[in-house]
Amino acid sequence: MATDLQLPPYIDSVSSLAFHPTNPNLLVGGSWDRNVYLHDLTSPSNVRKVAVRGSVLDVAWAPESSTKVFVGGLAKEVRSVDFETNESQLIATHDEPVKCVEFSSELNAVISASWDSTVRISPLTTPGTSLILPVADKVYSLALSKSKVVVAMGGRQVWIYDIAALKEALEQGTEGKDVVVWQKRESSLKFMTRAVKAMPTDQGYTTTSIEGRVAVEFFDPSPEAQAKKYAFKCHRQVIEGVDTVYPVQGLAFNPVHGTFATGGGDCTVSIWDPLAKKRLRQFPKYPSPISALEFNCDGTKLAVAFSEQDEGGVAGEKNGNGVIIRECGDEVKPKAKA
Amino acid sequence: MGKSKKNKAKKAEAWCWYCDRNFEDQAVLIQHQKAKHFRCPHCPRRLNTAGGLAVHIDQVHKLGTDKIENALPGRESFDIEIYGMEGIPPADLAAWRKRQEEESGVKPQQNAPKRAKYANVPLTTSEVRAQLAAHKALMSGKPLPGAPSLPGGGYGVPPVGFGVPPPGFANIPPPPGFPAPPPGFVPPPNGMPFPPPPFPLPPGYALPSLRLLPLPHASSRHLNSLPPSPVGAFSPLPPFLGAPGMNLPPGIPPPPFPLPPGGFPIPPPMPTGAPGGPPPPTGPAALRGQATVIETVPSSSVMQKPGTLLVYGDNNVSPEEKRAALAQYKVEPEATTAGIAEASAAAGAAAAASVDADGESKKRARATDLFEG
Repeated sequence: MATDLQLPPYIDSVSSLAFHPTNPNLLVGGSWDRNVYLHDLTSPSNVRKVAVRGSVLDVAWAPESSTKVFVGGLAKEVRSVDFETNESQLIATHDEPVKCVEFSSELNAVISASWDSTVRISPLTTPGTSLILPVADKVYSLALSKSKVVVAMGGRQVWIYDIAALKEALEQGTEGKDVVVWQKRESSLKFMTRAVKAMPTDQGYTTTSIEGRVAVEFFDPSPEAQAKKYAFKCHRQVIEGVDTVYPVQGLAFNPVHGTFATGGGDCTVSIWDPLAKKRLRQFPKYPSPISALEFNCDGTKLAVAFSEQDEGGVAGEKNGNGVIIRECGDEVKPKAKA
Repeated sequence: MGKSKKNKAKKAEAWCWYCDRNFEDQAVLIQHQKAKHFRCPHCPRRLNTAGGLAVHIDQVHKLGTDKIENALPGRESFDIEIYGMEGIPPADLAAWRKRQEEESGVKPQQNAPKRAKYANVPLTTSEVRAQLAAHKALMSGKPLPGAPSLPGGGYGVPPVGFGVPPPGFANIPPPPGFPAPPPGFVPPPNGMPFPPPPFPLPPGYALPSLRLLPLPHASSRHLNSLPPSPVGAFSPLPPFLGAPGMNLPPGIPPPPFPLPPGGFPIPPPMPTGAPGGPPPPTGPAALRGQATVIETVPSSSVMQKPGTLLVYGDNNVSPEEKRAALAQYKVEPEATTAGIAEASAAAGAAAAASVDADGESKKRARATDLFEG
């Protein structure tokens, strides 16, 4: 039986998780209680935390460090936070709370996105300056692949930036409004986008919506590639004859096997094979609605964050906030073709 | 009409051992067991028995078995092979049969049918004895102490010679300080020495806490010598006395919620300057010690179309945005640490103030007690 490791409970909702890019046992979690938590899965009871100003909405690891992370949230700014030295440094400021923070090693810059309808790219080499990309609406989710930045916004809009173009713009000092958006799309889901993640293969991305549905899309604009895109229903339940549709908040790709996990307001997590269009596994219920999911770098562990304040819960059942680490075996590998 | 009545009165034919539910027949029961208890948690497969499910989970999912879903505590074992009504442990099955009989034996009396219905099963000796005793009591025309009085026989009708306690009750005159039972009041037939005092208590009378017990106060002594009584406002008293620093305000029934370990002062109705009864702190607020009231985002669930409920139905504003607008997530302006320190200091002061108020009301309660005594 796969073993589950329950990390010490959180006081308030867990907004985001991030596994270290190279160390499979380092996990950082951001919470609405205005703290960032560092978990070392080899000694789970030993949790380090750093308080920040305002609830945390997203976290990302800083390059070549096992103690430094970037944090964004309601304080309308992105800061670097070091668990070792307790030092904090302002990276970028926004006009509204920061919803997404990522670090791009290709650009050597922090990418932050906010409800102020901008994406800001802040190179670490020149602190205090940001390339401000105006986007169409409030940003709800942002995903990074090797060559693309996918920005999911309100109004079901999805913009895709090419990282090579962004790099050129940074080098030449182009103004944000002049940066060409590689693709402007409309979400293939009819409802608000909750999460977007890029495939580790750099072929495409998946989005989830508030209406129990997941879409798999591909970057390649050719008609053949676009014909492969699809969407499916999930995280629904019939309760007393009513088809109850939950938002899908957690989304994570397994970096090794290319499968992905979704977690919804129905407190369940499912593993999907995007190419075979099959569900591989559904994990039994978690205590509260799923608020974030993340695989570690070698794809052997899945961190599941659940938060009782999130939308959902079956029959009003919500039991606390926390993170459970699930050891993954064969269930996250695509089925061998017969 | 007659038919439906018949169906209602009909004894349930099948019973689910796992969740203690009755079913019309075996087929429905088996459907239920497949859907509720023998369903694989990892895939949509439904099995017929616990053993089948265990084998399936082991072979298909390569996992161990935990416990039967939706089962009552203690009945979650995979070891017992049950299919419908077959395989149920004999002791449990007998207990259920007995319960069924009791129910079918009691119901007709309440519904007052033409003829009492008796279950067509041999009775146990204890049952026979109980029925014999009940029969005797019925014949003698007296209520039976210790036995549940018959509906329509005990409570409403005052016995002859009212005012004198009926036979079977201790002949104790009402203690001083207690009025004689008002007309129409019949002591419940459960062997209580005297009736409980009418509630609520007279104003200005505080229920004594343990520390105040030695005070010479007639009714306080009697109150504490009372056996557990069936009166609702009365029974929760002992745990309250045990709570440290607890003051029961006059005439206020104990709150239905469990008290936090620290002892939560219930504000007396008189103005003391204490906060007007904030809800007991739960979850994050209690731990953070800052926010007193936790706001939650109102549900935005909408019926999409008949039969489909969208749990989060606001297509224009994300859940996080709504949450960010709540008071407890308001971001302090810069100079963070100073702000937090101030806030916690203020909270501490408030707590101290409430403790003061609490102490004062305690003093007041003691004073009234002395005065009364």
